[in-house]
Amino acid sequence: MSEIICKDVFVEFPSFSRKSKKLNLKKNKKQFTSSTIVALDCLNFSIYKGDRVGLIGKNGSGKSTLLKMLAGVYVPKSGSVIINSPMEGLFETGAGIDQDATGYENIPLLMAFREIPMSHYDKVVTDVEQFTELGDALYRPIRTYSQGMKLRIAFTIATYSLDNKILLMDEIMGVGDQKFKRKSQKRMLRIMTKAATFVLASHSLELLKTYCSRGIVLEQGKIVFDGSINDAINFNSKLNN
Amino acid sequence: MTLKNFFLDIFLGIKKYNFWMTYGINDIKTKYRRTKLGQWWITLSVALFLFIIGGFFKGAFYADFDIYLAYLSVGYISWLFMQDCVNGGCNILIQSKSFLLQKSWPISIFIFRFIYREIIILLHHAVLLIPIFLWLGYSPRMSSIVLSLCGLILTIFTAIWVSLFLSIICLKYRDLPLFIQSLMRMAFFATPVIWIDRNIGRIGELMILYNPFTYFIKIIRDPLLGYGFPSEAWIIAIIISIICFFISLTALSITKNKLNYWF
Repeated sequence: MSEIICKDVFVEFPSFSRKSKKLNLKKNKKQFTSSTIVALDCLNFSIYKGDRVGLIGKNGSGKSTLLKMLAGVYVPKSGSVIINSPMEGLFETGAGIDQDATGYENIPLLMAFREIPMSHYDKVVTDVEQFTELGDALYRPIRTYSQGMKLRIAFTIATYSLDNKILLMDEIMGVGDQKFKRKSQKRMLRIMTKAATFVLASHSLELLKTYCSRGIVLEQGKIVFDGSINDAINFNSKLNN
Repeated sequence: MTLKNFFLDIFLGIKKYNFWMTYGINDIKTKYRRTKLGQWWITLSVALFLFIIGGFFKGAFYADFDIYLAYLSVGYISWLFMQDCVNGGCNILIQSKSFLLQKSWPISIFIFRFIYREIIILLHHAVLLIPIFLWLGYSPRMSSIVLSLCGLILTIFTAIWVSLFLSIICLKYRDLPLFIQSLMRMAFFATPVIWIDRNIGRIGELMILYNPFTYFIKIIRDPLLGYGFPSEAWIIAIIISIICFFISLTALSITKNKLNYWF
C-alpha cells in the first residue's frame, strides 16, 4: 500500500530580491528574469509502507524542500500529494527551544511543540534525564549549553513518540559527539522498527547505508535516479565526478 | 483554501490549546526572567504612568483628580491592549518562522498564542483598577462591570481578526510593521485616553468619529465609570468587528498555502 503518492509535484519559491530585478532591467528591459526559483520540478514517485528512503543530492538539489513539502510546510504550486499516515518531521532540533529557560523549563515547551500530551510529562522528564545524561546541567539556561547538549534535549523529546508515523529527517543525525551519535543511532533503530516508513535526507553515505534500503537521487529539483540505496549512492558519485 | 478550511484552521487552533497556552505563558516568563519583580513589572510600569500623568493632566481638563484618574486608568489600560495587539500582531507570523518551517500548522494557533499572552498582560494591568477605585472610594455596580466585560470580550474578539490579518499582510510586506507602528504612535494622541472628549472642536470631533479605537475604548470605559450604555459605540464596534472578521477570513483563505513561501 502506498503511504505517499506524488504526481507532477512542482514547487517554486518567490525571490524577493529587488537587486536582481534592477540589474536585469538595466541590461535589457525585455529580458526580465523570472522572480521565482524552481525547487522541485514535476516529481513523480510513490513511497510504500515500510520503505526506508534516503534522499541524495548536492546542496540545493531539493532534498530539504522535498522533505518539507511532504511534511506539509510547502504546498505544491501544481501536482498532487497524497499522504495516508501521520507525519513527524525532524528538521531542526533547535526549533521551539527557549534559550533563556533551563533544560527542565524547556521540556514542557518542546512537548507542546511536538504535541505530546502533558499527561506524559513525568515519563518525558525521566527519558530526558536518562537519555541525555546532562545531570545538573538541566538546571542551567539552554544558552549556556554547547550545540551537542542542546541537540540531546531536542532529539530526545522529538523522538519520544514516533510510533506508526511516517518519519521525515533532515541531517540531524550527524551532529553531537561520538558517544551521543552511537546512543542516538540505537534509539533511531528502535524507533524505525516502530515507524512504518522513513525518509532521510543526508550527505553521509554511512548514515544512508545504515538506515535506508531505497535511494532517490535529486539534481536541480528533479529525480534522476530511484532504486536501491547502494545503486543510488553509486549513481550519485558518478554524477558528481 | 475554502471557507471550510478557514473554519477548520480556527477549530484546530483552538483544539491545540496546549501549544498556545504553554508558549503564551512562557513569552511572559521570558520577558521578565532574571528581574526581581518578574511579571509584576507589567503592573508597576503602568501604575507609574497613571499616577504621574494623572497628576499632571488633571488640571488641563478642569476635571477632579478622582474622576480624571479613573477615566485615564480604564482608558489607558484598554488602549495598551489594543496598541499591543496591533503592533505585536504585525510580527506574529514573522516571529513564528522556526515553527512554521517544521510542519503544517493551523495559522490561528500563533494568533491565539499572541492574544493569550496579551490577555495575561491585560489582567496584570487591570489588577490596578482595584486599588485605584478603592482609593477613590468609587465602586461600580455589578451591571456596569458586566457591560464593561462584554465590551472587553468584543474588543478581544476583534483583536483576534485584526492581528490575524496584520500578521499575514506584514509577512509579505516587511515595511508595513514599521509604518503601522508609526501610525499607532499618532493614534494614541488621536484617541481620548489622556484627554477628555468634550469641547474639542470640529477637528477633535472628526478625529473621534473616524477613529475606530474610540468606540472600543468607549464600550469598555463608559459603563465602568457610570456613563451609561454607549449604544452607538456598541453598534459601530460590532460592525467594525464583523468587517475585520471577513477581511481576515478572506486574507487567510487566499494566502494560507503561500505563507511559508514568504519567509
